[in-house]
Amino acid sequence: MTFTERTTDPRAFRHVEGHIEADYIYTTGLAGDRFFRELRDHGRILGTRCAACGRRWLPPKLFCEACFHEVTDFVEAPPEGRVAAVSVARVGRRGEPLPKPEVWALVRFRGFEGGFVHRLLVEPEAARPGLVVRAVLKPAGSRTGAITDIEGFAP
Amino acid sequence: MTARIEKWPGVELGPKDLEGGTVTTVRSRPDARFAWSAGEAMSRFLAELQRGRLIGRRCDGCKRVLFPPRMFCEECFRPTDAWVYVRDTGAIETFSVSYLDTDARRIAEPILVGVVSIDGAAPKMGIMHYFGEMTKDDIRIGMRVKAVWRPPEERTGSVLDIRHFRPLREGEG
Amino acid sequence: MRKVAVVGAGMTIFRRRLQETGKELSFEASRMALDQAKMEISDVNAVIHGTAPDAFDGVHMKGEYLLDGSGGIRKPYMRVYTGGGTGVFSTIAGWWHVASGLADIALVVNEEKMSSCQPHPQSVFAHIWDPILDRPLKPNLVWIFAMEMNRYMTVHGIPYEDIARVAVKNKRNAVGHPCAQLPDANITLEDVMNSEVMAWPVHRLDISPPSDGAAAVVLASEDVVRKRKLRDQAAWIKGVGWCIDSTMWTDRDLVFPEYVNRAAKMAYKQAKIDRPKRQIDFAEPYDPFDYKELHHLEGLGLADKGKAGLMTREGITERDGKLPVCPSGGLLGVGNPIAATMGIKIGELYWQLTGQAGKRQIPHEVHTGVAQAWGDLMQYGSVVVMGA
Repeated sequence: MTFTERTTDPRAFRHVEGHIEADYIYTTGLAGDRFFRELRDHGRILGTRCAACGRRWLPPKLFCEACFHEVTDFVEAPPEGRVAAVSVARVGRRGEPLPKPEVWALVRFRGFEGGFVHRLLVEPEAARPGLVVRAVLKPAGSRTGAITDIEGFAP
Repeated sequence: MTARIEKWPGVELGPKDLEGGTVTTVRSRPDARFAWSAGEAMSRFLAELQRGRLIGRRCDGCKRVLFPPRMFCEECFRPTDAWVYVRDTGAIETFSVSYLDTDARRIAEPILVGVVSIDGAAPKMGIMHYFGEMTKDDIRIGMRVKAVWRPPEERTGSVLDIRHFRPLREGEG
Repeated sequence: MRKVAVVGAGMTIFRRRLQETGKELSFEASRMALDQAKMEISDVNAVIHGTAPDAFDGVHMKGEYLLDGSGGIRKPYMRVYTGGGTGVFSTIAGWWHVASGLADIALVVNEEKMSSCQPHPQSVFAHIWDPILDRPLKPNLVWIFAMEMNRYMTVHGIPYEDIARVAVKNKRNAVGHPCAQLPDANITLEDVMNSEVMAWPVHRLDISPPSDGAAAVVLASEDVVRKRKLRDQAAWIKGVGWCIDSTMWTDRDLVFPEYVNRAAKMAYKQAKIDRPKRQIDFAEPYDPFDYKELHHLEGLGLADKGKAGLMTREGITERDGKLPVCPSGGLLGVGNPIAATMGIKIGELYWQLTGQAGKRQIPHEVHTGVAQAWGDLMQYGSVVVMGA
């Protein structure tokens, strides 16, 4: 059985507008705090190494996803990584056309699980998987302890 | 054995750590906007409020008049059968005297708010609303009350078309 | 259906703000539970994660987000959420997995990180209200508890003093809990009754604090308990029940939690309990507000309607009383990280029944306990009965 009456004139329907408001402060966590401080203060990119199974993780994690043990060894990421995938964005989040296309990449590092999704600092035509890239950091004075302390990755 | 566990994990932060940035953090504000459809029953409910009337729906299965109205009876689990106007008088089922506003800020003059069961609807059926023209010492469960409506030109089709419920006077309702 | 036991439990400290991310909190509690159960993640057949609104942590699809910290990678995994009921309900969902034979060992992990929400988690709680009927009135969440407390007190003629006494008992009990956020050995009835009125009849010290935290338990089938020789650290789940009432809370008389009563009857039936007052030795009902402990004791059939307050007055519900209630210190004393309260409900039952509760150990023998959680808009009840 369905409802015994149904309004067919859409102008008779009312709606109530509103928005869900909230502000958030996210901690970066125990592993994350170490990563961002190292990035901000020393310009170094750290990962972690699980003593139990030997796997290395970027970004660093407090625990090894694979063997579920606590991880306490921090190791420096190699200076060069390789682009695993690219994407070129030409529209913004609300569907508005972007003044300049944005080039994004997933960058992986030899010997490490994971990697970074970040800007690829090349022209869209030059963006392709396989590129060997290095992190380009903001100058020391402008770094705040955020992922944006990395400007992007460039060949 | 837990009795012998010495180290319980967790690193405590104080408010200055989180908001003052002694640990690294990321800030974000989602931008989620909504237009909630009132649906079949509530659209009529809001339209009637704008006309200065309260309306419910009757379920012929359990013979209750449901208020606020709904197109299905959640007890019998069948569609409801007819529109029925209800009165704008009722009784206070419960209330609170609030010194907090919606953002949890303290306010000096308390808000009197509670649930009012509406005459003509099934027993105990009601809505939440403000109580006015009474003090925090006057208000009590069981008090008979009547809606105070905004003037017609100020009504928009909202529960706020009623300003508050006030004590019922001698000879009314 | 197979018999299921809790064989290990873990939890983080509960505090207003913790530095760990939600994933790290989940890991800390899970790792501890696994260590207690002498197991590795590879032993676990299924993972169940319980966590309350995504809006608190501020991460959409929070269950999926937290899974790597919960040991759920590449395993059968489900996230359950029943508002405040999650603290007990996730263990019920874990029980389904093992009792049905689908899993021999299940890991149940609950997490909450309310501190992410600024300026106060109350800001997103506001979105539980109906957009048409309630939100235009700009309600504060405390109003609804105040209205329920008022109805309960007025209908039964319960003096506020009998309600405030629960806060005193639980905050004092919490002194024995290593994870407690608000333990207070010296708190008095006057402290609670004189604390500022938030929304009458609720005073500030009647309310549990928002918290960050995580908890985890390991569930195992009878075969596993036998093969791995875990009997000495096993506490058995005897009955489970859950029930929810309508969101139209203004239709209901809030004086009695009917939905808790039904959930309890469902659990008691399975546990073959027909006289709970006699057969239940201790209880961990949900106490986000002090009046709720009393309200829930009545819903659980452990006190007659309107009479639970007398039990606190007479010392019956103290840790050394005839029916200890919230020996953990409850939400009022240990903290309220919504779903992670599993650590002081299911966790407390486990630790008491296996003699591992340390300073909180009930001084006389207990064999059967009941844990209960409550959630949503005065709607939801989840109940678990456990026995040694």
